[in-house]
Amino acid sequence: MIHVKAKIFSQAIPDYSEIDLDEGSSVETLLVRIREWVALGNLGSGGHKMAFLNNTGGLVVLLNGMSIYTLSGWETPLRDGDEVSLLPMFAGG
Amino acid sequence: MRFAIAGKILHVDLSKRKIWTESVPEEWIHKFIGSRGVNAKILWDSMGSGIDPLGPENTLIFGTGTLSGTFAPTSGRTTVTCKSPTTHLYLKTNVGGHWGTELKFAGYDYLVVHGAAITPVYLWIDDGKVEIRDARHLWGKDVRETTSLLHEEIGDPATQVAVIGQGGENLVYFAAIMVSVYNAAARGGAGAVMGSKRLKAVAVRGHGSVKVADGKEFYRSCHVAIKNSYEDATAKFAHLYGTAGSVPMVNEARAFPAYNFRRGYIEGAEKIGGPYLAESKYLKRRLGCNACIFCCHRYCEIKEGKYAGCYTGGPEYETISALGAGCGSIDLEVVIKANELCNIYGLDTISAGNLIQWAMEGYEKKIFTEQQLEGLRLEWGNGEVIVEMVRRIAHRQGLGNILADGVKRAAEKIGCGSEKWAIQAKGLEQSRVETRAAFGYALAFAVNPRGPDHLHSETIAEFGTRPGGRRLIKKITGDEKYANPRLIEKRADIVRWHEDCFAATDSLGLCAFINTSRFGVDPQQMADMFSAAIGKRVTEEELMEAGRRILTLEKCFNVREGATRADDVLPWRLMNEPLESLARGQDVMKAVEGKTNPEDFTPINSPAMLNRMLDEYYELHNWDKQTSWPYRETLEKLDLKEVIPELESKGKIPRKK
Repeated sequence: MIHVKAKIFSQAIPDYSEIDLDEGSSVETLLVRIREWVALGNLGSGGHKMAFLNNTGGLVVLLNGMSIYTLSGWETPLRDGDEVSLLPMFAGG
Repeated sequence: MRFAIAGKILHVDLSKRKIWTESVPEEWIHKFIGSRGVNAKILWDSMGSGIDPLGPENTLIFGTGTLSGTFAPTSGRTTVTCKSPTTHLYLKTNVGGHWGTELKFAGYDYLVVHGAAITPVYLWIDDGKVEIRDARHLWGKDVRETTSLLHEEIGDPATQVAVIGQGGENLVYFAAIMVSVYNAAARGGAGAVMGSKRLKAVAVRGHGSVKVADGKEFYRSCHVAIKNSYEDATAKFAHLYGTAGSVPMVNEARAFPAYNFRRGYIEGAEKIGGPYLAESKYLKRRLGCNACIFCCHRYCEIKEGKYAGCYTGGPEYETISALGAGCGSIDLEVVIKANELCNIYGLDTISAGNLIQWAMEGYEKKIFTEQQLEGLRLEWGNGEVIVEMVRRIAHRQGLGNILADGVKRAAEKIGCGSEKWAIQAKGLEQSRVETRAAFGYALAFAVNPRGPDHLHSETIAEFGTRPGGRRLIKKITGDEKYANPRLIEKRADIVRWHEDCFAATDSLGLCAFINTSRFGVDPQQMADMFSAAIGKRVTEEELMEAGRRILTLEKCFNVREGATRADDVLPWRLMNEPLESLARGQDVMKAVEGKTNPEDFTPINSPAMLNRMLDEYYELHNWDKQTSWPYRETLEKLDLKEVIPELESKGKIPRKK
């Protein structure tokens, strides 16, 4: 088993969650697991959050601060202690 | 008949109290596009090297965009140009609001201020009528008070005003020129130059209009630009959350400078982020500059508590990082209050925050005397002291007087090794991106003619977080894999493309957010709008080449002032100390394991790494690698022959080996 931290920025204050996954799990596996959690009501009210998580084309996904697209995209393997942030596409400063 | 532009340059000599106009030469629009580009030409022509930036020989130029005054999306930007008192080098600082468009409606594309008045004055531009008026009664007033008094005096609240506050009057080296009250031409001390001329304000009212050559095609090309902009996923977020919206993402990417660039991450950053602000009781309105289609500007109020009665534009991403996380604070009320004071005193929030952080680190390291501190407790995160220091800087009181000279000079004065945590290069305080986590930014900051910041070449696309950015990186480099901020390969190509694009964008009067931050409008669409507006076909390549010509002319200004490759560096800390929060960075290494050599990912801008990127960058520009100076053939190819004789006479045209 590996232990992974997820931060979900679907609202102003993000949800933090710590999830155990099988060895060899990918970022995609994590997303599927988070969706299951949201569907079960484990991360507060679900409607907005689920819409946020389902819009994968509009998500910025960072693994330990790096865009997953600089790695192997959704198939990037996760390791114990990894931290994944899911954010909407902000830009500009 | 001149299309798109008003066709006139308004000159005002405050020493001689003389006012005159000249036509904008037709060829300048083709060579330099407008605004920033034409400003650079006027600046080059108007002075020799070595003048005192705070003396009457400096020229202060306000340039409207060639598309300003039309409905081209985001076309309300104006560029202010002069020699910077902060760096003693070239300065362009860009501002939104509505002032520039008003100047164009009054019949002038450019305002060029020469000399210096003996007593405070303001300019009143009422269409074709221009007056130099007494401003002694306005001296000492803040930006809001001055704007209100001028509205009363002129009797027209629609008058647009560009003004300095106490910061500019007191020659604070990072004083801003404020326009339309809350928009700042902030960087590099243009406000101090205006203060040195004892020019308190420029009030403008214009009733004219702008004509484009081919209305039907102009409408079509603008419509395409608007449609494409709205299709970018971030357009909606720009409106909802403003630039502050990017706080959570930059923080999660470990690129959000905190504690004076000791860390790239601060716990709880979301509480000073755009989404939190949007849901808070503070945000009252969302505003746009002239012809904006995003409206990312904020307006906030604090109605109760310690800062009750505070109201101000902003805060922007940069301000939140500088006056918040950078000072170790995640207190939104402190950021809003300190931002209000910077706005009304007319100070650059980036530099103000940088100086306060530098002082906080100095306080921790006990480098100040009791006498210098006057009881101030400059502890990290101390909100009261952040707000108080802004006041003291603007009025040059106590320690504020030392900080008001900018972080380079302050560190030189105080010593004790504080140069090492003075986050500056070329003398300019760095803006708020952690370049040890993003190497394209590192190169862009090092070569920026005005000093280390993001507004000559912002390479957001390299983060690889968004499809538009990845497409752009592929277009520039041929491969999407280079959309990776931890690589140094291809950074020169990425930076140079962004330089060209930024210069063209600024010169048209468009906002950089339309094409390098959101990816809706590409240079082809800008060329289409430009062509239809002026009635002459300009290709994408010609537009980008004009951008490069502008950047190269700006570079030549610095070469003439004595700048060399040694000036193209980054702040000491960023080149010599690894980033602490990326040393969680073990994680980063792990994440990229197997992709490339892990050594490439050491979170530091080492001299070896920077030198490799610089070599590639100069080579790409066809500049001499040893000096960084452009070759004769480069200048000739860019049709910048006019700068060759002077550079040659100074021995600054390098020989090709």
